Amino acid sequence: MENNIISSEFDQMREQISLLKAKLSHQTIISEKHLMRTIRENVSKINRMRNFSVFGGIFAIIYCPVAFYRIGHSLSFVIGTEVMLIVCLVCTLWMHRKLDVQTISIDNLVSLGAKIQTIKRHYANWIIISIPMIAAWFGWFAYDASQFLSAPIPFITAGLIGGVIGGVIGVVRHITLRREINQILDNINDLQEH
Amino acid sequence: MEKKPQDLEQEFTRIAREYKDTIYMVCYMFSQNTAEVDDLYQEILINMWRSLPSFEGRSSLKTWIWRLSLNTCISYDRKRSSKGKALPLDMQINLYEDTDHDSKQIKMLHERINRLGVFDRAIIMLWLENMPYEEIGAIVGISAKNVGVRLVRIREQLKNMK
Repeated sequence: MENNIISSEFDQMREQISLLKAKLSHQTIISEKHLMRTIRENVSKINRMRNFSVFGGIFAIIYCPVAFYRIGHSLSFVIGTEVMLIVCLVCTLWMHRKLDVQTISIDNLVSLGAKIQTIKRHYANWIIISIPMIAAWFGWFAYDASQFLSAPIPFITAGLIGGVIGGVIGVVRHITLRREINQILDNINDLQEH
Repeated sequence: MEKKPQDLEQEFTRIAREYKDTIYMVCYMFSQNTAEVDDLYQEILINMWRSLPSFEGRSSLKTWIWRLSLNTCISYDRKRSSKGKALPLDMQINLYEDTDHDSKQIKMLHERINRLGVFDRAIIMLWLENMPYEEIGAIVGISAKNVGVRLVRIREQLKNMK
C-alpha cells in the first residue's frame, strides 16, 4: 500500500529527483580542511556575538544612568531608567533566543514549528508592550529635561523624532510577525486535521 | 563514552562527505537562489557539528541527517542570513542558471516543491527518498496514516498547479 500512490505528477517527480541526484553525485562540494576551518570560525563567531550582546547590554545598563545623572536628570528618573533598561535587556535576550541545537536535531517538524511560533508570538507581544513603555519613558524624560534645561525643546524634539521612527518600525515588524505566526499555525493545524 | 576531538572531526567530515547530496538537495528545495543554498548548507553543517557529540544513535544516521536538515531549513531566519559570507560550495553546476535539459527538469521539480507549504515540502521530499510512512511520520510529527492522506492532498495540489 505504501508508496503506491499512482500519479503522473509523482512519477515525473521521481524521475526529476533521480536526475538531481545523478548531477550531485559527480560533484565535489568542499575540501575537508576548508570545511572544518569554516565551521570552527562560525561557531566561534556565534559565541563571540552572544558574549558581545550580554556584555554590551550590561555596559549600557551601567553607563546610561550615570550619563543621565551627570547631564542633570533627577535621581528618580535615573532609577526608573535603570529598571527599564534591565527589563529591556532581559526581554531582548529572551526574545532573540534561537532554538537550541538539540531541539533542531531531535524535535519533529511539527513540534519545532510550534516552538518557532511561540518565539515569534513572544516577540510580537513584546513589541506591543515595549512601544507604550518607551513612550511613557520618553514623556517622563521630556518632563525631567524641562526641569533643568533652559531650552529643552530642540533636545526633546530630536528624541521625539527618533521615538516616532522607532515606533513605526516596531508596529510594522509586529504586523509582519503576526502574519508569519498565523501562517505557521495554519500549516500545523492543516497537518494535524486527520 | 566521550569521543576524542580528532575522532569527532573525522566522523563529522565522513558524514558531511557521505550525505552531501542529501543536504544539498534539502537546501536547494528550500531556497530561492544560490546564495541561500550556500547559507542553508553552512547552517546545517554548523548544527550538525554542534549536535554530533550528543547523537546517541536512537534513530538511523540517515533519519538524523534528514531531520536536522529539514528542521534547520524550517527554522532558518532569512533576515539574519549571512549573505556573501557563507561556505561557498565548490560546485561546477548551478541549478538556478544551468540550461541543459536535465537542469530544466530539476528546476521544474524545484518550482513545484517550492510552492508547497513547508511541511508538505518535507513530506514529499521524504517520500521521494522512499522512506516508509512510519519514518516520515516520525520526522514530521504526524501519524503514518496522516502521511498517506497528506500525500493524496499534495498530489491534488500538484495537479492544480499551472
